[in-house]
Amino acid sequence: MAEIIFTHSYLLLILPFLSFVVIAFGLARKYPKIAGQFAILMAALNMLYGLGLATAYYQHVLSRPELYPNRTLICFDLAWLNFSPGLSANMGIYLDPISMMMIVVISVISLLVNIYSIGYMKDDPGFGRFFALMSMFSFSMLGLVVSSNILQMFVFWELVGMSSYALIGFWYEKPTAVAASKKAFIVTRFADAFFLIGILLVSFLAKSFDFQTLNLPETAATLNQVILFGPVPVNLLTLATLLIFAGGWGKSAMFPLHIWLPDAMEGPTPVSSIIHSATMVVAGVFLTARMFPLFSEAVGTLAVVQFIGAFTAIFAAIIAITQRDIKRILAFSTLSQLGYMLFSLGAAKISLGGESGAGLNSLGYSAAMYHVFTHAFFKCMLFLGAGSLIHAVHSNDLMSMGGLKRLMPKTYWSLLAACLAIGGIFPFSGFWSKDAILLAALQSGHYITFGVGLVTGGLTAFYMFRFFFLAFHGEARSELHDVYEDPWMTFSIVALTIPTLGAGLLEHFFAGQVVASGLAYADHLAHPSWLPVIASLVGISGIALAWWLYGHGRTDKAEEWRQRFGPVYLLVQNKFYIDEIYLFITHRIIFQGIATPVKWFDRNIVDGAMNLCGWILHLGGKAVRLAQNGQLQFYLGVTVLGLAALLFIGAG
Amino acid sequence: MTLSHFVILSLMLCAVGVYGVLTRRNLIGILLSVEVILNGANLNFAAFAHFRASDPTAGAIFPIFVMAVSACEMAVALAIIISMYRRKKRLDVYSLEELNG
Amino acid sequence: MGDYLFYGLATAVVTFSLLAVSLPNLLHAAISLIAAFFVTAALYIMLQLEFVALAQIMLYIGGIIIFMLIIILLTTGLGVENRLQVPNSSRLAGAAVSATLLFGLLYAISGKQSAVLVKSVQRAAPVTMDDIGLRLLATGKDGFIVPFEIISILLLVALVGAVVIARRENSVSNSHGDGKEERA
Repeated sequence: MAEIIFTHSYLLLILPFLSFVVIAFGLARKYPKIAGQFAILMAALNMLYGLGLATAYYQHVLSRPELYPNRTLICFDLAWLNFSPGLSANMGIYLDPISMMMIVVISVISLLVNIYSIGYMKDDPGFGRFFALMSMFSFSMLGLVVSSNILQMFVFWELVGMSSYALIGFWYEKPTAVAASKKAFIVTRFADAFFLIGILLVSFLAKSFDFQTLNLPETAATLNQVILFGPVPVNLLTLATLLIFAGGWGKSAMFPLHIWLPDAMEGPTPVSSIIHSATMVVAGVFLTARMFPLFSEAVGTLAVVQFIGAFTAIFAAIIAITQRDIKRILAFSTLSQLGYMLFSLGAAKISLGGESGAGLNSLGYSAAMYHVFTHAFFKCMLFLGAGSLIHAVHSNDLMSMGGLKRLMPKTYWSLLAACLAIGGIFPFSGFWSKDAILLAALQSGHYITFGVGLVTGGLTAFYMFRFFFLAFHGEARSELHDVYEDPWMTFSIVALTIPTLGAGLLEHFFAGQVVASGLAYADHLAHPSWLPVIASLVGISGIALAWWLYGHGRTDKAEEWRQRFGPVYLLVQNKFYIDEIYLFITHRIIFQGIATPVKWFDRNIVDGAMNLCGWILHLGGKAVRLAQNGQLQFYLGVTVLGLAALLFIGAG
Repeated sequence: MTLSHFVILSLMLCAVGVYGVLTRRNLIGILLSVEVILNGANLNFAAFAHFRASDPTAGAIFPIFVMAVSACEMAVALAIIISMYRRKKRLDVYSLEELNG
Repeated sequence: MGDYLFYGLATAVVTFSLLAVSLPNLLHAAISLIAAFFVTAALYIMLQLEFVALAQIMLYIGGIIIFMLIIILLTTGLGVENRLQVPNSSRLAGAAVSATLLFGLLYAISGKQSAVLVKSVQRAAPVTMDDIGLRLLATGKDGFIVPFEIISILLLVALVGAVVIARRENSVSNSHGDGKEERA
């Protein structure tokens, strides 16, 4: 039975792709309602297959460590492009703990979001098109996580980027949406250029694209040499891994490439919930986890990952405190949680007083993936809930909400669970995963990162409950017409409370099974018992502060604090003006400084050289044309001269 | 009165005719000059016929053929000139520039 | 004595030819060409080719140049002086080219002192009309029957061609009846 499931694992990809094709080319225009139902049907089948695959994997692979010491199963691997006898890019399906986990996450969330979208996109003219694009996204994301080699992953990486572009700019008549989709695509594409260079570098030296080969210690040894880039010595392994990480840098929106994620909220809320919270943005984390053995051999790469992750976590959390648009709050929250995941991966490298290469902490890896798992569910639920709020109030602004507790009870209680989860309160899922991350940082000796993580946890609780209290408690701050809870939307939100509550049970499973195999992990690491207490205290104090400032939905206390902070508050609310800095750099420096002279050069010198060639030929033609004047006597004269010449030459 | 004299004479006539072909502006003038050239050529044939003792008869027949061909040529050329005159009302060779490039 | 006659005739023919190619009035040029043909006939008689001389007079003067005179009168008219100006640079260029040709030709024939030419100072046997006639229709190796026939076909073709080229365009619709006017 398990063999059949594994052999037909390509169905996992075919089902959403089929859904896309059928809806896009058949159903979307004429039968949008059927399109929605068809999408849900295919998503349900996909989820069933994914869960079946997970069960088969658990029974067949994880339970038999003697047969599968690496916990890896390659279902099939077909040769696709043969570059040279030694180098061939394949298409394959690669199952290991992290990809299995992602399959479960993606298929479940995809089904729930599709159900939600029936309610959310009810009166939208692009109803059918939406489901086609969502199916396309599911296909791309599933393809990304099951890729057996890095080139295949890159293909699906770009496909995911394209789906994201299409979905962010879904309401293409809105100029802000179009600008946001362009921005997302350009920023991620910019990062992907470096990713591609990294792929080429690694595969050229390692003579293979496969993940299994790339993660072998032999590959790391081959790459671990220092070459000279002009006068600068560069370790090739560090360079290659940093370049590969650059892909994740952009896709997971780490500072300073985070600018696209808040703007990506221009897309419909179901899009934000699946793409920009649960699945696509964790692709960077997934990539780092996938390439973890290679990254861990490199000097400095994991340190960079850790630093960037920690910085982004606290940076985004600070900005989220001040935002008024609820989707922006959630976007920055996602950025912050992504930072958590990445710094956990980076913290897997144990530092003992600054030594490099001092062993690995398996908890760093598994905690990051566990957080991916739990975060997907509660963040998705938060976005879906925010979508319900927006649907009810017809506005994204927090200041026009309030007092929705009585009118939307199911949404209220579900979102309360999600906010408690993200705040890291026992016994919700977020508590377990955040605790694991903090423990990993502490065990590995990265105390600063641990401190940053702790503070960010407090900030997270604070801003999430600021959002919660202002949205649901107190008096309504604007006119509320016709507030109701759409059944389709509410179903998905309520359904997601199950993993939000229950995912905490999987903590030991993750710590034991979801690890990268074949690496030297350190044993006997400390497990201080005061850690969960401290973490919970920080979370509760964040909630308490939010209650003090915003309890019962009032804003006057917060207002006076805002006056006190004045210009600092303005700075933070405008996201530290990073977007403006980018605009300045591109317009003044790049456009005026570089692009315009290059354009001048291209127009006048390069084109001018071409024009010069043409002009010379033209001139030559004009000169030759003088001999073709059509005058009979001229021609005859030339003939006679020729004859005379022949006579002179012949007789001479 | 040797052969050389006659040959030089016929070459001079040919040169005069060539000058006329290259210089005359009227089409009929060009034809007249062509006649001069042919005349010189005929004289050349006849001179060789007379001074080459072996076969003078052939040398007498050739000028006759040349004259016959010249007659045909003039007939066709003048027919063309007539039709051209009808189209353009002038016979200026400087204005026949339609094949210029 | 024969030499002086030759030089006189040679001068005459060159002079008349020069006049024929340079006189601006075409009628005068044609008349001068007639004179040149006459003198050439005299030269043929000097060469003891009487038949050729007579053929020259009959064909050239009596046929070709008359035809040209007719065409000249048709196209340019009698007494209508539409002299077209030729720039002096063209004349100079033309003279230069023809001089080059002349010298080229003279140079080409100068170097050789062929035994044939040296030998052939004496006069050959006179050519009679019987000889010419028999040679024209002879079928053997030295016979000119084939060129003779071909020339007659050529004459036919030239005749038909000249008529076709020179006829008026409005022939098809008005082929039945000359009194009909062309439709406007």
